[in-house]
Amino acid sequence: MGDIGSFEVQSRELRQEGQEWQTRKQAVQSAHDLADNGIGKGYMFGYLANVAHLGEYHDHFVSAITDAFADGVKTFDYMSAALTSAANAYDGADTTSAESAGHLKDRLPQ
Amino acid sequence: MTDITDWDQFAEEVRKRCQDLFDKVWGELNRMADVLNDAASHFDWVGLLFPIPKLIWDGLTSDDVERAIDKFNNEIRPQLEQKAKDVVADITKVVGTLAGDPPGLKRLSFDYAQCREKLVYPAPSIQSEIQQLGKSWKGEAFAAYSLAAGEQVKAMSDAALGMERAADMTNKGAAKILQLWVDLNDKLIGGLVDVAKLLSDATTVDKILSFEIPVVVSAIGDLIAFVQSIAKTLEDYWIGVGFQDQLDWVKLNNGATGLPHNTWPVIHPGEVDDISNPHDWGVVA
Repeated sequence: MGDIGSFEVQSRELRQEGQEWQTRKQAVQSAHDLADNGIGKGYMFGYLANVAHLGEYHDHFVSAITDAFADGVKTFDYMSAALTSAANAYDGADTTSAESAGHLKDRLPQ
Repeated sequence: MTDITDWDQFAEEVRKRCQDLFDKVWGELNRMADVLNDAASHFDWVGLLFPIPKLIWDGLTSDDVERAIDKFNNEIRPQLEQKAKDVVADITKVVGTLAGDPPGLKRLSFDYAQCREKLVYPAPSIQSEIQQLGKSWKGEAFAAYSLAAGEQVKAMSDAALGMERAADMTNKGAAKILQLWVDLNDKLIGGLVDVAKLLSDATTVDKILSFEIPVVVSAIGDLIAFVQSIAKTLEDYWIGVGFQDQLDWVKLNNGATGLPHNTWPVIHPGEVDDISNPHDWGVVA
């Protein structure tokens, strides 16, 4: 992807915004790693708690939210890449070319 | 109050209390046997010198001592030994249901709380970012991005709320288990003191004769009653948490609290097309 046209481009804001999504991506990645510590740990609530299925609820929740965080990381990666790609396309620089739409979409959770 | 921090320590404390109960019951029974043997030996010795049917020593007849020995052998010893064994077996069984890992739950609680901190950090609002970006970007891609960005950032705060709730509930669960363990151990210690006092009162033959077996059996039985009540308290607590209060855990589990459905929001395909397609990009002239 090269220069997409005759726009007088101000891509700095796009790049900054792209960087914000990288920061968010790191935050969600950290959240994922911390939540992951709880996977399968419902047994810690003990026998009586698990009579009331507390352990199952905990494990199901933690498993689901950890998967969600993993999807969040991919989604934020996409957001960052899309903005950076837009900036690159506007700049038309050969060394920082825009990603194809298909390639960008591949970053999203499947 | 004892300081108990994990299951192994709790189990060891309970094991010690049960051993204390055995030691106390067996020790006191042996002491009673010594009292009776001592009394009987006096009559054996005096009987050799004066072979008459009824002798009196220290205010006791030989019949008194024989009755005390019969009561000890046929009632006191078997009933107390059996009760102590039953109670220790029951305590062991019930305590097994109180297993859990409060330190592990505490660690998880800290992790979940830190999760929330990672997700909610000081930063400009997404609205202000979008507004700023709008000064140099326009068109369908920008419109699609604006919508998607708002939804995505909201997912972070939703998930943070869910993790905060999870941290609170995990922490409360750990605290509840620990508190009940401490209560149970302290009650066992107190109960053993009561049992020991009742047993240690039987210091003479006439006190053994008047020994109130049901009272001691009942005192030992109180220990298991309390242990069972502790287990019931914990079970009621979990059931209350799990069902009757409509359950924060269930709400978290089904995604009613926190991130909706515990699923990260998908960007609408149309928005993805607009954001990904260079032909939809534009800048403010």
